[in-house]
Amino acid sequence: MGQRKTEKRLKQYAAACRKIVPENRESQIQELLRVEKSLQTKAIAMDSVSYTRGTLWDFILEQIGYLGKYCFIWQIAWIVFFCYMMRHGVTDLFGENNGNAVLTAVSLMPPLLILLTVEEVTKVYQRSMLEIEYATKYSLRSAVMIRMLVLCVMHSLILVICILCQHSGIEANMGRILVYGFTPMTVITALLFKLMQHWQGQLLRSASAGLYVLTAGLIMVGSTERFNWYQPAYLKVWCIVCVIGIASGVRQFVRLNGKLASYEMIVQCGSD
Amino acid sequence: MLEKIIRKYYDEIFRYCYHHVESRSLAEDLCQDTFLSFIEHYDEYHPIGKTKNYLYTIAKNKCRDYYKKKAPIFMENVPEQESDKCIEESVIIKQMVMSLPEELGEAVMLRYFQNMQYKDIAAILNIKLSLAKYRVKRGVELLSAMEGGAHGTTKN
Repeated sequence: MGQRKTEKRLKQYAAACRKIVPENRESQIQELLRVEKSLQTKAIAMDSVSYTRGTLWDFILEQIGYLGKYCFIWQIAWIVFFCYMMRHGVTDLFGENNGNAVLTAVSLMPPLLILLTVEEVTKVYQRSMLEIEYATKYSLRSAVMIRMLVLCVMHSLILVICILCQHSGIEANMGRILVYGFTPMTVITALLFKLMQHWQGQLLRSASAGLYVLTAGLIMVGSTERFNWYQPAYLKVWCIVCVIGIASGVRQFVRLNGKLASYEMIVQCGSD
Repeated sequence: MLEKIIRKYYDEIFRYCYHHVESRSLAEDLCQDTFLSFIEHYDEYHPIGKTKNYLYTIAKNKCRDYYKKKAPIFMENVPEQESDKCIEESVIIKQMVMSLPEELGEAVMLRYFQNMQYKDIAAILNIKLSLAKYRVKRGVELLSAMEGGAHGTTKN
């Protein structure tokens, strides 16, 4: 009985409340409709912006376009130099008595290709570029990764094509030449990934130049008759070093990626 | 389409907010916020259930957010001009509903004040139908007990 009474009172209250309406009902509704209209206009504008921003493929093409033109000039110069070295200049450089001259040149040239273009990758996350990079649709990491990928593909293609073209003039078999060419490249790449985590700009340029001088010195010493690293017996060691280079390259790449992610997060938190 | 929805449910949502906050101006603000959220997320909204239930869910969350930010205003704290004279007689029952545990009070409000069906209450509160029925029943029981207690005290 008590419950029915309560229910009745609740219903009475609800009936009384039905008379209550918002005081500025119409103006409030008009305000909501205005907001809706402005949101619609904004959405249309955003759609057109995202349309003009393009797809991932457009982004990759854009990044290729943003790569400094000097990169391509360096690469062409590198190809010409490599071809010239293989045809004429190797013995001039290393002396006719050095039997490993061609293979030494094959080892020395590829790291140079990377070092000449490394700044194009680090340029993305230099302080002066951050504002522009954060205004883009894709993240800072995407830009870095796309540039690395583009340069990696370009370098590998150039190297393989050059080695294939010069193969007839070199006594060693194709597999060996590729190992001698790619091993210093992978090791240098791994070390560069490490350096990129700490330095940018001028510092990185100096550090990578120093790194190249060290590597070149090491290769030159190794090519002498005293060590003779290029004899077939050492091929296994080259292969192991190549695998280690790839493994540490991957490790450093993951670390660099993590560092960029935390960098991105810090900047985003700072801007919020 | 959106205008139709706003016009159809504006008063209902306003009253729902009014039951929670007791002040007409606050209820208007909460109601406006509810519809603003609805408009902002209208593109992402997929009409799986009733639009009305979706609006009630937003309004419920808005009221909850309001209470999180601020302590609830009870009738004695409300200025005289803000309480509607036509419902002054029913003020006690409203106070009693507000003093119920939150989940029971919410169910009772939706059932009796908003005149909703149990299945809609269940959808808004994201609970099972049986639990919605139980909460309403339990809420009414408690209210009845409160009334009995109040009358008893008055008689004594």
